[in-house]
Amino acid sequence: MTENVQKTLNQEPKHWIRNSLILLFLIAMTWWSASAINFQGVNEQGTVVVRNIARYFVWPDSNPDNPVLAKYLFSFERFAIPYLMLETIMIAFIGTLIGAIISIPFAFLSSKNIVGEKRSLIGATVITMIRTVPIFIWGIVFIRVQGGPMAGVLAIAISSIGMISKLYIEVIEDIDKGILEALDSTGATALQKIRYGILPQLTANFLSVGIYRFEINVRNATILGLVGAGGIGFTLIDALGSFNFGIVAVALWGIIPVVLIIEYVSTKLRAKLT
Amino acid sequence: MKRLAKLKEIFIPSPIITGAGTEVLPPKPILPYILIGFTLMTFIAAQVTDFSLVVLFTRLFNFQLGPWGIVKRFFPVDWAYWTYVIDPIFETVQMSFLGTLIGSLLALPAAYLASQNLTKNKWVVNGVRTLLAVLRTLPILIYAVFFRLVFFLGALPGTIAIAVFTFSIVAKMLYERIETLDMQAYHAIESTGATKLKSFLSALMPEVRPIFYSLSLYAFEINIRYAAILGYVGAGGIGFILDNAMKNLSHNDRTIVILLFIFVTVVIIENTSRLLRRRLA
Repeated sequence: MTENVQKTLNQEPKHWIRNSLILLFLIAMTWWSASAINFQGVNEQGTVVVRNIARYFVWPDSNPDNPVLAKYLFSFERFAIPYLMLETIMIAFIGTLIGAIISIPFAFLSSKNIVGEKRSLIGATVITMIRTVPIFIWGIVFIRVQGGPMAGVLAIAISSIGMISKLYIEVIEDIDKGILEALDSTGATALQKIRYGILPQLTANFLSVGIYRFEINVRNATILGLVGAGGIGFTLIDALGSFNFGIVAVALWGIIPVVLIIEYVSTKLRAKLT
Repeated sequence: MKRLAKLKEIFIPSPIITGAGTEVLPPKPILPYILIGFTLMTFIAAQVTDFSLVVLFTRLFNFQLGPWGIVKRFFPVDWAYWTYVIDPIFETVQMSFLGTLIGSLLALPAAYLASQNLTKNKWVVNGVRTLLAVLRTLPILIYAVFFRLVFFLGALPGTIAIAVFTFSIVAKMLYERIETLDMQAYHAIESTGATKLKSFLSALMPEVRPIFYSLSLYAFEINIRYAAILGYVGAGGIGFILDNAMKNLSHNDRTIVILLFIFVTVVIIENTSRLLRRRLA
């Protein structure tokens, strides 16, 4: 019995050469990467920043001279957190919607089973290019259309096309053509084939992709303010930079629960759809 | 009246009577409700964000002031600038690599603690999960701004920001995968008197390891693209020169060179990572 076990164990393929090479490569990479970092210790204000953010996060009104709860968290003024969060979500919503709509023809034109192997490569390259351009670049370019939240909407829309199209292509390439043949045999017209053969296969998955991207876009929309493209980002990053910890705290109180709820609902919805 | 009946048909379809005389209820339609909801939301969203198609199209085709005005400034491309892009792009890769490595390694024990089938203490499981969920809500850039205040300018705050983000997503994806594993071997080893950790290491680790590598590679792919913008807030990497090239009117012609370098790097890393992940799966 023990002999058998020993024998089987010895028959296991030995990977130690490969494994040690990988380990060596990882160590070399770590060594090289660590050279980029020059650790000078914590900034003199570092501990102050950490302590204050923790303190104000627990109780944003820690500084009696600067009460922020009433002014920024429980108010519907345009500069207050609830409105900024609404703006952030709406930027993400309409941006995702536009991006998802643009992605539909884009994805069909880059799917292997529709335009062929070679031509799909063109679409795939364009999609990768769009995905590579950082969202801030789109933000700065679209500020030329109109500053503020509208630039954010356009930036979110264009930067979403990359990922949404990529996932749409996967859905389209998975289409079951047998259903179309079955519809053909009943004498269905082209329009009927699309309505009963293709749409039911796509709608749920397309929606699910859109919801997933919306979740990511809400997070992306929270930083667009840095380049003046609307949302809560400007207020948060500006408050961090100017050490206005009360506002940092209420901004976090705005972002964290909202994103948590959106993530929860999105997961539930997507589980229902697929 | 007929129109109303047709409208009703869209929302509540009447049963279909088949040839055999049986009634079949068509599936409840959801599309019309979704469409109505979307239209309403779009209307509200357009109000809140000042979105207007009229402004979009008039400005989009205004070639002087519109977005094309800035795109035009990218040309002719200052190709000679590429020598200055090498260092920042390497720094971006270094930051992403180190951040991914640290974050992934920390994610392993966190995933162990957050898996319901491995950790029996409900408080620990839910505590770690809540922490991961809260960490996930903030984008890397916010962490970068925060760590830049705590540490000095440079690659360090960016690397830590990437590590925090990687930790939160890898740990989440990992515990979700661990919970779907077959636990029989684990229980068998546990029944011989081995400790929980030992049973985990010998029974589940061989299955967890490829998943872990695959998730870390996936995080690396994502991080390389995020790392490109961290320089905007002074947290190291190529974002700093990109920001400079975009904002400084006389340096606009550098933008394309920088974007091209990011593109090539992302493509190389994504393809290598995909290749490795396909072999792991």
